[in-house]
Amino acid sequence: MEFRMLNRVTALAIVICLAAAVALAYLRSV
Amino acid sequence: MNGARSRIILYLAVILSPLLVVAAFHLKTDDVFYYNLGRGFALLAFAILVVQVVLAARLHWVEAPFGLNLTFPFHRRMGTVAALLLILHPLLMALGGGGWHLLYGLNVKWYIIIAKVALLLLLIHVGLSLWRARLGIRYENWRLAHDIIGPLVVVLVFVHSWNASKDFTVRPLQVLWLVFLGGALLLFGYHRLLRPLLLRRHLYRVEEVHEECPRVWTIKFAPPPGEKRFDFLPGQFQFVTLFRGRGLPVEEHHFTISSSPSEPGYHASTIKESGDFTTAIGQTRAGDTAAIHAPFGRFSYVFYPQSRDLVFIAGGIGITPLMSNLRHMRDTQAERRVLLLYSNKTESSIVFREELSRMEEDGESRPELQVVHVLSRPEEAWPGEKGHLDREKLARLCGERLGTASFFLCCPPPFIHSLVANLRDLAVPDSRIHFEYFSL
Repeated sequence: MEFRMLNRVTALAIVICLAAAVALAYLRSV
Repeated sequence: MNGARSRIILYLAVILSPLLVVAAFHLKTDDVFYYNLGRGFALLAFAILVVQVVLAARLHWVEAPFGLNLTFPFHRRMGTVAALLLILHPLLMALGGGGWHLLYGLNVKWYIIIAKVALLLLLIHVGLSLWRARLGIRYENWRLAHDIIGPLVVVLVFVHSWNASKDFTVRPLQVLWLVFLGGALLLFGYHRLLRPLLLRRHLYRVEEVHEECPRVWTIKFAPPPGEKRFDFLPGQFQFVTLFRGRGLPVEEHHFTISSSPSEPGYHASTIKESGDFTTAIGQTRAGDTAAIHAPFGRFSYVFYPQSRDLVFIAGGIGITPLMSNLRHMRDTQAERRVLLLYSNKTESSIVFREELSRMEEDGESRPELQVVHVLSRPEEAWPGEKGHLDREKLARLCGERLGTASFFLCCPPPFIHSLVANLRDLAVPDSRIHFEYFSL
């Protein structure tokens, strides 16, 4: 069902964004 | 799926690009983790806001692999994500040593005031979008507010970040931000101003208006003289702006195409009077004109060539995309077996009843169609199915098709939710359930 894809893409976007922001913040702070 | 995957990867690359530019050109700071995290959230939020325009602009290259039924909800969700990131942005910066006066103080730099205004507007913007129907706001009024507040928020966030952040002393980030802002405003201008003007140079003509049954009208559109009708797939929809004069509203609305693309020279939408704009749809006359932006949508059996056995479930006027699919199957003699479960309140509200009967009774022809009408408020003498299309009826009427058929549902959202839950309960996998809401 197409809405499964919507949920997966939304979750993927959120997780990748948060991970990238946390990683960058860590690198900028050390 | 490759088309979808490439667009998803591109989307992620664009929204992550500010972080990558910072990592490459301006990594080191004297600030603590939380402060830097707050900064990162703001960079992400701006990139997400900018790409919102791309998601909403109905660009075929962007939406085609998904359909607007997915790109618009994704636009809504990512708008909410951007708002949450921008709420966390000052909180994290305050926590990281920026000072809590950032949040509540009025004696702050002008660009902090700008940020507060932008955040307030964004929260209103998201709230109106999520709860428009519940707040009782007319679609046209919401859309006008959306068109004003959206670009304004993008500009305000740009001005704030450009002036507030030390990151914007770095040339590559400056260039990226200018490209983002310029691209978003240009695309918005194209979507809301230029394209409507271009569409008005190729106006379709209303050829015929026909009352299918009480309060349900079929409007036939003919292409501009000397031009070919646009190509579409069965089950797709169009955005229509009718120019009728006579004091009738000029608004853009989306309607399913109920005719088949195999019928040359025209296309038609079948529309029910159901409040707002559609209340006056029956006052449309032959000779009126229409600007049309189409086609959109993926609610079509042609996307599933391996599915020979189909169950169509329609609620009321939700029959229209399914009718387009059935007509296309008839005209192309598609080898399909279709069970149509068609739910209505009363006998008089059944749309396309005679045509469906003819298709059903023509046993020689394709598709092999069986129609079951289900009425929730039938007359005493109604010999057919009564009540709602619940789990028991689905199991009984679909029988062995539950194990093989692909299901296409088009009904009001609460009906769809209950049907999907019941079909799952009857062990129909999600991969065989396709549905379309009435609204985007």
